[in-house]
Amino acid sequence: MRSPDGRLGELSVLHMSKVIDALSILLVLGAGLAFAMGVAALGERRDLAALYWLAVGGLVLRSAVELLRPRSGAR
Amino acid sequence: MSELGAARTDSGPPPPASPVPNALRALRERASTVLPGLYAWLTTVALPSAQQRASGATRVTALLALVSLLAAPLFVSQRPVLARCLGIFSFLGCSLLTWVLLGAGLLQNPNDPLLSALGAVAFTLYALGWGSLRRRGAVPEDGPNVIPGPPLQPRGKPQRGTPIVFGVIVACAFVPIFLAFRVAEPERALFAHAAAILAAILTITVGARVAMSVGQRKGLPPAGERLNSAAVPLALLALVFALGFLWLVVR
Repeated sequence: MRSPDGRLGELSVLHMSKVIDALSILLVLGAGLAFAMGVAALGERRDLAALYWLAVGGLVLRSAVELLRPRSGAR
Repeated sequence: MSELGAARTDSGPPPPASPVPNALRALRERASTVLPGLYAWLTTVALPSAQQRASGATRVTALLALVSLLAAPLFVSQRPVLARCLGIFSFLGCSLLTWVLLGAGLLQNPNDPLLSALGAVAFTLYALGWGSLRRRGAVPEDGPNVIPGPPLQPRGKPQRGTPIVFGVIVACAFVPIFLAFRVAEPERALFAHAAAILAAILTITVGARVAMSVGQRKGLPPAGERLNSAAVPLALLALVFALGFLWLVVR
């Protein structure tokens, strides 16, 4: 029979995984929003702001990718 | 009757193999590559460069293409890299150079598009001939050049929320594309469209992975490890946001 501590740990891991999943979804949506703000800034002739938001979008997407990076060397 | 590789019973060193039969054998073994290449060369390179208006340089490049085509099979077993360089890069490069040098003269026979089409088919067969099939019983993952990584997951039923998550992400990815149409200046609009399409492709690519990984535990590291691996880009993001805020305040 599994100990209560073990079950609690498993539940905590499960919750943590769900939080990470939600965070990765939010990051992708945030990246889309940042890209949209970048394109909108381009239309308003705010070039520096456009570049800033496009760079933010790229960084946010990179964070989402890193959150999903599978275990390296696993076979 | 003896087989290839069987032990020789006669004494003394084996007679040196003549290079000419070896070359013929190599050409025969690579007939599936050489014959389509030869046909492609004849119809699309040799015929146009044989016309009177063609310059000497055109004929030289056409001849070099033929030499590359015929020389490549001789090196396939001993020096495969050289063979591929000759058979693919040199042959195609010389053929391309011939067409460039021919210019308008390339259309020497506009009434016969069938010949050109057959030449294109022959080039396709030639390209396929340079491919290689996996040996029977060979495991690709055992190769020394295999990049280590996690095994591919078998196809399975996605989680219930996956289509919804993916739909929302796709809808979000299309927002920059719609906004790009609002950019009035032509030069700026061109850049906006290019940036929006690139952004949409990136968002959908990453979004598909995110949507498929929702609820999946297989093949993913523990949550803490995932968070750690994203620490550097997240820290950079915080820094960029701080710089942006500072810029807003200073301005």
